[in-house]
Amino acid sequence: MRSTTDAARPAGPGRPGRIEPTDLGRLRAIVRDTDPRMAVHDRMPLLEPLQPLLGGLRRGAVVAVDGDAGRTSLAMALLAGVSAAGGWCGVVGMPSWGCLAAAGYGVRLDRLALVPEPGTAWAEVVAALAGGMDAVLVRPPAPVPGRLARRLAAKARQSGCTLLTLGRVWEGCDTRVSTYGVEGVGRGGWEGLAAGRGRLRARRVTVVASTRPGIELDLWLPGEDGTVRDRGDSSVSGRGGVSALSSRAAS
Amino acid sequence: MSRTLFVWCPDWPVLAAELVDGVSAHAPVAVLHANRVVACSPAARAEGVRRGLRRREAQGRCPHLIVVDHDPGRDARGFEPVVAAVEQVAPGVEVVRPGACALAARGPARYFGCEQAAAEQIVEHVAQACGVEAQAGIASGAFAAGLAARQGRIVPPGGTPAFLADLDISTVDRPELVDLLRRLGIHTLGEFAALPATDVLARFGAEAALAHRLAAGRDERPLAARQPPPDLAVVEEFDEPLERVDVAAFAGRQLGQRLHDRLAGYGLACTRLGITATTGHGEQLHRTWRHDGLLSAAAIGDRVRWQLDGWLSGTGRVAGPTAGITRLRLTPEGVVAHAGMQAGLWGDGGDGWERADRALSRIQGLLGPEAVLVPVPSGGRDPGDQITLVPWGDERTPARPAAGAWPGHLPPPVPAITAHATPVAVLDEAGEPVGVTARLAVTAAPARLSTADSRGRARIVAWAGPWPVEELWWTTIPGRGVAPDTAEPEWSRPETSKQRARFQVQLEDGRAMLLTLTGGRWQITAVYD
Repeated sequence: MRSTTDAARPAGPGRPGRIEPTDLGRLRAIVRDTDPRMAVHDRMPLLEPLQPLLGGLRRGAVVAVDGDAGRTSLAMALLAGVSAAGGWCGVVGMPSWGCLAAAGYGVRLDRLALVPEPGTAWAEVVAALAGGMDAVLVRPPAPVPGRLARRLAAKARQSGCTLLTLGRVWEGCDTRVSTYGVEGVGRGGWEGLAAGRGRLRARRVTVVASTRPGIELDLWLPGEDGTVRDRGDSSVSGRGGVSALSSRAAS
Repeated sequence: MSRTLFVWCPDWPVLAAELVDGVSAHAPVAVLHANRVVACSPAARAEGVRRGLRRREAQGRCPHLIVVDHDPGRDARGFEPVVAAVEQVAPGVEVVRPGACALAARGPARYFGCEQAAAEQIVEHVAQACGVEAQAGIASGAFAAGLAARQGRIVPPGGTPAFLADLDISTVDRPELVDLLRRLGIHTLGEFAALPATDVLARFGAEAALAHRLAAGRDERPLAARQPPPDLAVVEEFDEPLERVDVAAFAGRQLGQRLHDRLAGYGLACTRLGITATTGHGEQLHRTWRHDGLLSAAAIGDRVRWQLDGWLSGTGRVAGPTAGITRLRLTPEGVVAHAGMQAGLWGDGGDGWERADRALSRIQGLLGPEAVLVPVPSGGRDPGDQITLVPWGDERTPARPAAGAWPGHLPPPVPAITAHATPVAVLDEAGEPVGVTARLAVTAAPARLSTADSRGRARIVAWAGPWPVEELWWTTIPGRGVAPDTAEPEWSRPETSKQRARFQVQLEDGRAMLLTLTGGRWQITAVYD
């Protein structure tokens, strides 16, 4: 406590009462650490396997989720991180959103609200939800014109809510996360199903983010237990996802 | 031993016939049950008609006797206004039988000054309110008080055994016991009461022991008082019919506040709210709203507004009313003791909940209460069945219990897109439709999927199935009857759809989906996205 007070002293002994602009960031950090009410983290956590991709979901950002395999699952996995940290999530305009799969990824159903069919009022709904939720996933019914997108992005930034959009319909998003199927049996990356036997077990996907172009995450999305897992030979992290999976398959 | 005030209406079945059916009680009237007279009017009694006479005998003594059938329901129905009249004067009335009711004498006696005044007041009020001649008596215990009422007497405190002692033994109303006691030489209650209680119990049994207690002036049981439930509903009448939603909503909000205040006054809160609106033309709409927490004043107001909004604007299947609303009634249907709003133990209902509730309530105001849904895990075999969606703010009750094994449910992973139901055609290599036989074999390997939308045809590269489900086979679907017992499996017949066969397929373009064959039709029911 004593050292905190020392660090918080704004100016040197020679210039009483003046705060150098360079000190502001340090002061903010001190206030944030000492006052729990100010502890508004500007990033919400992600599930651990997704962590290398973004480092966290920035509050107030617009994140577009697309790709040819598993974009709905990826959006669920992104929401799951927010939900696991105690945040509230809203889903707009997706009448067939599979809540059970979302729960499998880790979305808490008691902190999830759906507005399946907002109709033409979807933008108002998103704006209202942004004021009360920590993350809102929206699939707009049509491409969103730049002006409306900017207005909703401003609303999200102002209330500290992360806006996730599904598909390539949003102009001017901050981050674009894409998922592609890895060649498995077919093109989607699914494993476990053959002609007339087996069942779908897990899907291999590659996930990339526009903000970190060098990183390609190799994931099971979903893994055999319905969660997100590292494939193990990922370019960033090397935990034993495959061995865990194969041991499960054997047992 | 409590002082009991007994109100007795003589010849009640006759009076009830007059009140309910309009038979004049001044004429000679007899009420008959099983060919025996159970009650008769004073005029009939003057002609010699007595209880227990046969019909022909009674008609022989009084040729112009009006005979009425005995109807216990009529007696009870007719007595209800009398009970209500007594209840207006003194609370805690217990109906002994139609025509007689008892209440604790202490309260009214203290209120009106003395027991005499209380009895007079009650008899007077019953006469004025219902036009029924009643008699009142006060004694210790309901049995003695009933006998006192027949004489219109008020037995002084402590005088009950002496009062009973001279009465005939037949008043205990147990004919076999009375007959036996008479033959033993016991003719009055006093003589019966003088016998030792243990000997009476040993010789005559429990029923006689009870009669002995009564004869000695002790009561068989204390009175179980009927407490009138507090009327919690609030009603508002409008001189000017409400035509517009905003006006109605404003009135509803005020009414909601009044209901909330009234409930709070009793230390209660409500979890279910009944809203009844009546229009100028007498149309009535009633709907019950459930809530997973306790309804606050604002929440009550919101629900009134939603309901009136939906009704007045006439959207949906129900047509709107033909006149404005003239009467609004809020009834709390589920009421619990309220000890202040409890926050959840693990931080639910905290800051985040309130923020979310505000936002979600606003959207409900914008789009209607059914527009905002929350998922509740429930039981089922298909991914769509395993979640029940309930409107935000409603009780989170699943449609089917989540506990249990649910054999036949799909193995994980769970599809990310459910509740699709897009019709498709599944074709084999030769372009013929694929079916499933009664022995659960596919007629040919599925090779192509043909959809109506722009994606058109796609090759199936891998598939698994069929995984059959037969649910609710014990119910008959109206108009279809029992399915004929044929070798043809039900999933290929269009008329029944209790059996489903499910397939997982993987398409050439990488998509994986769940197909369901039911009633001869293929559907995409879920997509693994």
